[in-house]
Amino acid sequence: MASITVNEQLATIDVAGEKPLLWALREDLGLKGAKYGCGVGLCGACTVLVDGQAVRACVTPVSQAYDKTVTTIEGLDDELGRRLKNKWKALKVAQCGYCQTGQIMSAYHLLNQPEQASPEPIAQRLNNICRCGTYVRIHQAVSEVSAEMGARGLTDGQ
Amino acid sequence: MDNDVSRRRFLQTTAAGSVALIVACSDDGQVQSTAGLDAGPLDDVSVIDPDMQVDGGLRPNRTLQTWVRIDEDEGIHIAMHKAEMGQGIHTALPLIVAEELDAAISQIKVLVVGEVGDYTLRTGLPITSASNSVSSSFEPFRKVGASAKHVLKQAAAARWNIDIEAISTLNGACYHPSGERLTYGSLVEDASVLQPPDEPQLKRFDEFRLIGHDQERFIDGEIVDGRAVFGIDSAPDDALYAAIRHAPTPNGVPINVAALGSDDPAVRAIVALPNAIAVVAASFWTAKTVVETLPVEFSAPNSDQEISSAAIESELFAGLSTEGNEVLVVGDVASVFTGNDTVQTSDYFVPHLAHVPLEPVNATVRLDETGCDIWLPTQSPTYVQRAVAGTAGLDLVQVRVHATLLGGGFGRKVDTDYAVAAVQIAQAVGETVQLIWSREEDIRKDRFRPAFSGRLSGVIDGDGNLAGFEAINCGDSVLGFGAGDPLSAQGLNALPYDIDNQRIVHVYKESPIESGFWRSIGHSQNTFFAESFIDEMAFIAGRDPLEFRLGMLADSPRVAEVLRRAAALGQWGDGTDPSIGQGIALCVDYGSVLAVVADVSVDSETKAIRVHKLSAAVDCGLVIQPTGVRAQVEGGLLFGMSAALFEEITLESGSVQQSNFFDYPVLYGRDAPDIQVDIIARQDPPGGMGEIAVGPVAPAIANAIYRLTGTRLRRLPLQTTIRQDG
Repeated sequence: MASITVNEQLATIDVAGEKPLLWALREDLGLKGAKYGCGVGLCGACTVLVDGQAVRACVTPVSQAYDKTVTTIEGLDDELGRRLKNKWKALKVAQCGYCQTGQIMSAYHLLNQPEQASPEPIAQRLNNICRCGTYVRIHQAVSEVSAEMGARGLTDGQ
Repeated sequence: MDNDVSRRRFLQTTAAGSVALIVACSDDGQVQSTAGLDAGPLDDVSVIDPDMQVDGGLRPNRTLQTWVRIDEDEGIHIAMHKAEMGQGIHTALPLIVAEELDAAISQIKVLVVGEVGDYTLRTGLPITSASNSVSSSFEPFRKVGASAKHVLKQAAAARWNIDIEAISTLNGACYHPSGERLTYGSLVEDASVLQPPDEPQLKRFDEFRLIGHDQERFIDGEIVDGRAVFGIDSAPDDALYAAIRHAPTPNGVPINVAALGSDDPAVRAIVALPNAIAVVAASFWTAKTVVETLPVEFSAPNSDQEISSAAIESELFAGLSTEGNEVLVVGDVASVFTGNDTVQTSDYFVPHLAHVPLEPVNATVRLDETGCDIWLPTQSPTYVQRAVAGTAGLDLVQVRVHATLLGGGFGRKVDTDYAVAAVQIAQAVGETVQLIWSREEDIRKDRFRPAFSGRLSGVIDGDGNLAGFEAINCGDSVLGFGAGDPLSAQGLNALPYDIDNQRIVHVYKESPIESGFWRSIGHSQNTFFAESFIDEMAFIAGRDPLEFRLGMLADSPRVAEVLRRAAALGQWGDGTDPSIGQGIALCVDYGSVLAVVADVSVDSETKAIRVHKLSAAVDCGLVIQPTGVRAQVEGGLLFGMSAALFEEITLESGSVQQSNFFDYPVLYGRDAPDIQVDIIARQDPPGGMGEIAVGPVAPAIANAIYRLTGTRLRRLPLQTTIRQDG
């Protein structure tokens, strides 16, 4: 038995510690917003936050989240999260939508790290695969939200 | 027994006692309604024709194209079998009904069904493919909307005792000239006894209020909140999970199944399938881990060992010199080629490709005494139903296909192999099972875009025009039709250019690994061949590639206009940056036209190809959703670009060498170019948009590289070719 705080709720979980966080979330906690895409940390469809840091849940043992705070797409509802989701809808970013929860989590992490403001363009700092080819709109959405949140000191190199 | 099932279903719906107006359009264009009978559950239209006979097979005369159902609570459901896989079809098609019905968008809900009771629901093909969802559905979807509106107006006219012509409709209500209003829901009971017209008055295109104006995509709210249900998300709580490991070679079979075991208590079963082994466990992660480590032995014929990419390639090139199927003959190519020593002949090649939808194929199966429920992402619910019925020994009506959202399809999810495997596993363990193919299995055991060779020849006459053009290609049939597969020559057999002498030949050569539909199908190789070679001929003629093409399009003003608009958008020929080359290419199909200009540079040291900008113009006739059309252009271009630059499946000793994104690289966002799209809006019936942008990308990039470097790349993927040959 171990405990994890997921989306601000304390959950207990009784699985092998090496079980990937992705499958613990999906199978044991019923949270299916994080997706399986490659299982080796390359596509980013499974991206969630552990103590505020974006991780690829398919290669993160659930034990690494014990006694920590996990945020998934289902629980991403602070101001930045809502802005990103609304921007995604306004720009009609999604096509099939499968990768987009991971894309939004990665974008959230990027924009939530003002101390890591980088001259590198957003396109170079997002590393999630989209097979439908929505990259142009993802970059536009993140740039626009970044500009809207600019008052928080965030800068974007573009 | 079938009749009993059908009758019982009918009696149940009657007992439900709900009143609704249902207007359905059959495949011969007839419109039918409930004739005042109780409507029953949402996904059941047996009430449409209570006298139907069931014969356990698919009956063309029991095909419905769509129906619209309006309930007294003002809810409106629109039925379709077309799968949502990112193309926005679950927004576009309901909008077409809403437009003619004058419904409010907020009332509309989509009902996805393939087989409904005793009906097949389909427009055009029984699968979601070939870019035909909008074009095949446009008329029937308009018709049910307009026809339903007609009987609602009739009901209102009777209620108010005025002429039907005096009534106007908007946002789900009928309006009296005085301004008095009756909602559709309040008219349902009266309208449901009226016979809807087969030929209702349709709107003129310039009367459209919704079509042509961007609406919110219906599923976006669910997507961004992580609530959208894909196949992989649809396992019931009691489901077990299965992972599969196929024989590494095409004809391998597992031989030591009885000796296999696992001491992991989470493992529930090890199941032998004809060409694979599966492990069933309480967790997919357990099942996957165990299946990958089991000491399975596969037996395969020795011939499997001889399968390799090199052997396939030499076979496909040898095939070009053998007799093929003459697909198109115009004029007499031989007469202009014979004795002419300026004939240019070029050989092209494309490798096998995987689809790699980000959601790997998966299916969830529950078998019980009533039959089979199967949840899966599929482009072909009808084929799934047939395949499952055959595998499980059930009648078609006992197989309930629950088609979920697709996490990418691209043609992969037309096939039913993963559904069949899931049924076999569920049969073996006797429990509800979700089978997920790991990414590795999804790539290795794909239904691949087959490799193709091409040999193209042409000659320029004294006026600098293309006097003769011959194209021979060699590869597999994705339809399984052998030499007669029309898709094998798609992209060569209907070129838009006015060329007096043409000969197009397809040589069929079966692939040793499974072939399947890959987004844009024949265009994925043939448009690369044709549009690269046309470019070669332009340079041989000493003419600008744009002007050379336009010179062959005097009789095709619509196509010429698209080329000109793409050139203008891409500032064709205006480039002042010597490090950037431009290439142009064209694709005409599906009732649509698309041209694209690529701005490309090549790093002189690393030979890295960088696509800076893609500028596309498109004419797809009537535009239903402008942002949706734009999205299909953007997505199609990038899907094509990913394959053009990076993607290649190779085989050694019968085994696919790639297994995940580290050895099957696809396009990441950091390599995505700037994309400009010019949509030429027309008041013509809508064409298809799902695939047309895929094919012309590779030749546009290759043509740009030729202009920049003088090196003609005739083989995909370009990034590999330029490092080997460039």
